[in-house]
Amino acid sequence: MSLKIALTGNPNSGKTSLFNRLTGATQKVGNWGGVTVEIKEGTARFGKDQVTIIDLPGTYSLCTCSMDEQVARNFIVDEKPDVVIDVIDATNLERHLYLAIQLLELGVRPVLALNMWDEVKSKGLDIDIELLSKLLGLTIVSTNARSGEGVQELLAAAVKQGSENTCVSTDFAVRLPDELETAVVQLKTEIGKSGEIKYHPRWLALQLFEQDRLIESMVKELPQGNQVLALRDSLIQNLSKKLGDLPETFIAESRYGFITGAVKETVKQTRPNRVEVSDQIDAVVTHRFWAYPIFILFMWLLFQATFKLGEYPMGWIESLFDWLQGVTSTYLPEGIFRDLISDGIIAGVGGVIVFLPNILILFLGISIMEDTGYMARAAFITDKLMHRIGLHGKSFIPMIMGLGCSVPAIMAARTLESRKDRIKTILLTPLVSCSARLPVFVLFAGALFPQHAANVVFLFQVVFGFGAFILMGFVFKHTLFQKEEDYPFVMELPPYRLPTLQSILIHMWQKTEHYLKKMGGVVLVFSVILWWMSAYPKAPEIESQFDQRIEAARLVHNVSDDEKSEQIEKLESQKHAAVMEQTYIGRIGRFIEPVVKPFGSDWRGAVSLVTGFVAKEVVVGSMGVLYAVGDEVDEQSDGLREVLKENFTPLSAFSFMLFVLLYIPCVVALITVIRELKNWKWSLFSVGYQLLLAWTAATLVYQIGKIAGL
Amino acid sequence: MIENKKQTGRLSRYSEGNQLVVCRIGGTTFFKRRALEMGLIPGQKISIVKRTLLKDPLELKLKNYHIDLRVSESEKIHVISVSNGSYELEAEGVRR
Repeated sequence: MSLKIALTGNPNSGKTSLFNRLTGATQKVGNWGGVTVEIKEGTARFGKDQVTIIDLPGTYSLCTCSMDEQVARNFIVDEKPDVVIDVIDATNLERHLYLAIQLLELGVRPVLALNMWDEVKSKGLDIDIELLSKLLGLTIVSTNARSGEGVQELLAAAVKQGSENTCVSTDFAVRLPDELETAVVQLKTEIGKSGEIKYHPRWLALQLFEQDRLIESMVKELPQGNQVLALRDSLIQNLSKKLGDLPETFIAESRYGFITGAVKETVKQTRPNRVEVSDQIDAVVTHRFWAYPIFILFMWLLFQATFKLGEYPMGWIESLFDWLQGVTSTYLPEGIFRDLISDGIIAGVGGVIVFLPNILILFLGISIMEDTGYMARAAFITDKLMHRIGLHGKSFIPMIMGLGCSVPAIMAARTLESRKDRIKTILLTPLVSCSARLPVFVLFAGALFPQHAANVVFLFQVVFGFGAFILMGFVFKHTLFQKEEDYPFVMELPPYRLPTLQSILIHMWQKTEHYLKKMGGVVLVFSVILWWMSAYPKAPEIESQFDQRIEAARLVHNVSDDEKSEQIEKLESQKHAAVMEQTYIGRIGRFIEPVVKPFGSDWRGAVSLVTGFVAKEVVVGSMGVLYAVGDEVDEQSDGLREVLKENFTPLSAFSFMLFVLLYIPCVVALITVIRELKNWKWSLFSVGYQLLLAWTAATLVYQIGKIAGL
Repeated sequence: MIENKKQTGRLSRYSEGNQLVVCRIGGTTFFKRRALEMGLIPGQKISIVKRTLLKDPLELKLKNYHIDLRVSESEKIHVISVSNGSYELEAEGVRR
């Protein structure tokens, strides 16, 4: 059996770089049942043995404030890895050792990797590893994940400890104030009455004094659980009176007391530290005023790179798939099979792949921002604004990227740690108007508000999109998440560091792989279904009827050729419209006509909205077909504008645009939302509230406008 | 020496550059644990490095690292101002 090694460590400890060093290209997302946070695993070679390495989420501690911490702790307790490596930023020993102490209390003897060893030297620090190892009773290896130094030695130490079976600690305890120590022993004894438990009893007692909710509910289930909790409560009351503060403070203080003692004996500052480079950078980058233009510049760059630079490869992908479609229609015999291959599958696959450039570039940008430490600063300077609508500073990136495309924007919500912030951001991001909605606005604004077209487009694309985002943020803050406690914002502003190419590339690839694997299949299936619904059933009688009329028009003698071809073109368009009306999508549109009536649309509006699920810009093409203008229309075509002018009033057009802005962006975005939320209730809610919001807003505007006599 | 409650003030009331010492962390267990594990324990010396343009959040320096937290969170941290090694009450610190 191969050895199982788990990596833990604080965020910014270089844990992921170390994991990349150890496992290289062998990484995959591990399959651990019931875990909502992704855990990566990979294999490392040691001599002729294979070792499994598991990368746990980066956490500051093992309390269960966040999902990440819960997952990390449960993994260590339930999966019982053979060895735990705790990755530590050696330049920041005091804070990073806190996690190591908690591991020891949990009964695990981690191997410590003192990472970023090169910085220790450059900062003029001198760490006596041998002495520290003796004081803590742990194996310690200095590493530099960036260069790979010490990584093999670390692996050797871990394998050695794993094979010697010396990974369990039984008697580690930091010295607590006497009263507290007595209370801990008392509670430990009470817990012991319930028999064997998978946790270390002393650790359980400490967690109970720290009021860990998960442990509380676990203890409640024990045979003697209620007695334990009752004893705990009375002990806490006594202690708080005697000591003047809750026990949790003294426990943390004692841990830090122990660490400070150890650090004092082993770390020497050999020469005065120069002014930190990070502080110098921050003097500008998080400067009261300069921070904002710099931030806007970075966001602008990220946006331009993702969507403008991404246009080129997207163009290539599109032409490749057009070419493929051409080839299949040339070489395959006409019929349903050819249509399925060319219009269903090839178009569907193309629709999935076309987003890849956006996703790759956006996540390249995001990993650079995260790995350099800028992400924490961006959250720092934007948090106040975002917090007003109940979001986190880091929600800023999904919000801005939403202007380009909702799909990568929703995926960018992964940078948020707290589940609540993540859900909210995913729910709100689709409201920001993506670039696919622009053609619809341009078409309608040009047709019905020709004097103010640019302003109307801006109003919908920017003002209403962000307006809806902010408004719904407020609504959610005061309804859905009202009772939930804010996740603590407190976080580290890590020193600026140069990212390694390997980390960035691996991160980028993982996001892309995730997109292709998790969504590609579903999107493809949906695309095929939508294609089939828009192409079937065929209506041969109607087609032949029109064909006859076209033929008849062709044979008329007493008109000029121009008039004749005009007549034929008109008939062709009417044929397309009639055929589309017969398809399933057309029938659905007809069926839901009563739903769109209240905001002033007819069945053709309804059908276009249904086809808009494929992609919002499809609405324009569908309108072209349905109003019998032809299927080769775009948002600039005069013919389509003319018919829209006849069929819409400014008011009904305004309401229709509002609906287009607010309802679900497209099927890919919808699947992204579902995949990222990983929860059916929230996914249904997301779909439901967007449809309801779109309908309510459009209907309200239309009905009020009508009363006002518009 | 830092038990005298009259002399402590909320962290949110202090301005940049003050040398402060943490006396007590209040608030919910959730926040308190996070603050404690980030090193904000009684007796720890800290200083406010900066605030953003909108005055919130603020950046702290302690030991040799920087953390940031919201003003609403800093209100739960009771501190005392120190200068020249002795614990002294700073006028603005206790202004109500």
